[in-house]
Amino acid sequence: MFGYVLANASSLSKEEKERYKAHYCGLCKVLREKYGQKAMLALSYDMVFLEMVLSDISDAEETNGKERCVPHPVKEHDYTITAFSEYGADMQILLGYYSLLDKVKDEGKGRSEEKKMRALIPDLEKRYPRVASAIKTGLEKIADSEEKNSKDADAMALLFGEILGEVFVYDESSFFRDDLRALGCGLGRFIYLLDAWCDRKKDAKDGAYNPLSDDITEEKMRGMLLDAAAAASAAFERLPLDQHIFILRNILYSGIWSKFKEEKK
Amino acid sequence: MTDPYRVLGLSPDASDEEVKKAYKALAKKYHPDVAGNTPEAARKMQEINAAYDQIINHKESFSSSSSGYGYSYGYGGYRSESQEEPIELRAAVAYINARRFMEALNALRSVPEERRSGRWYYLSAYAKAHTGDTVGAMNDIERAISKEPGNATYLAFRDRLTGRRSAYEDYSRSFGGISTGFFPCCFPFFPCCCII
Repeated sequence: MFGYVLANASSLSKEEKERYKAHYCGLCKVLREKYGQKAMLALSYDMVFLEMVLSDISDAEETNGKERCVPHPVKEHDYTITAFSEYGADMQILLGYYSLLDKVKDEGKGRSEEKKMRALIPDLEKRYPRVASAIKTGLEKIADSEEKNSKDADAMALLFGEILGEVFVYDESSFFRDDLRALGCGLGRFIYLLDAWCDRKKDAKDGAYNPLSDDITEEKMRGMLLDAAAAASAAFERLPLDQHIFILRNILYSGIWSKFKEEKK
Repeated sequence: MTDPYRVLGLSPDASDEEVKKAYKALAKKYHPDVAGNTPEAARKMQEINAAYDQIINHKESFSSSSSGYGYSYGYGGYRSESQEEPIELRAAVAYINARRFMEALNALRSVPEERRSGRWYYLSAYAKAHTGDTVGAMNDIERAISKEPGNATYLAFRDRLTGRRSAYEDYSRSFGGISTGFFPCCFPFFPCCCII
């Protein structure tokens, strides 16, 4: 359900593309070093967005370097690591684990991965008790409503939005706590709805749960997505961002729609 | 109230971008890690936060009652509007004034359904909008309007909610719309940085 929050590269400058990529690679490096090579499979662009927002707000110091990695062994590439790269990596693991747990319960798939990941969770739960419990209870609520075959897509999306909202609140004492929560919530709603839209045909074929009604039109869908994106952007524009503002706006106003457009074709 | 622009060392015609830059520079200077945990630095930080809030959220100021006195930003800035505000809504208003919207929603939930007035729905819509739940906010503001059809504050708030969507669309268009070409990935199932 992740990976929708990415840039529209065609309207980024060369420098911006490189900077965006370096933040991605920094997050990937932290994930690999902390959780092992396989952990990078969990990485999504959603967390790159969060890392860039958080580091921009606090003008976080950057560690820049060059490396070669497994997917790109030949060409050296730049990476940028900030104080928030680790947070992004940790959140990716937490979100990844609980979604996997859901999948194991529902479909019986992924048991061995679940077992391997399980060992990482107690530390993370201790370190981020508020976020961990929000993810856990949020996903349980979603599972409950799925079981009841809820067709209230907005209510379902809000449950996921509340989870991502909590993830975006890096520090509860931050002055920007509520704007970050609203940004995360709007994006979470968007991600959930878009995911449901992209999966609807497959779900119908498999007889799997989907929150959208069968006769949903593209226009209706676009309106729901627009509402979620606008909620995110209202909060986003209140944050004191300047360093990465062009990249972040590119993501929020354009990039996040890429899968919707692809799906249309 | 001191001039918020002066607090940030700016002239009153400074743009939002300049406000954000100035805020960040000052916030860094008075951050406890830099300035130490002194009451002086903490007070300065509060001033800077309040000034930022006042400028950036100015266009969105919260109207404390239908007679429309503006929302007093910040920290202990809750005004004595208690003559007008029903007791059961005061806590929620105080939370909203302190921009603590989750707590505001919790306080509102404690009012039983049959006692929920138009004002209750307005406060709820306001708080929901600020936690990212714009769908819930829209439902609540419609309820508020149906209870008090002529209320200008409620109508204005609904306009603001719908206005956000068109503002988003307009802005989105300046990025070449939401339909430009996106990157092909050489590795479709691998989370891969080569897609950019």
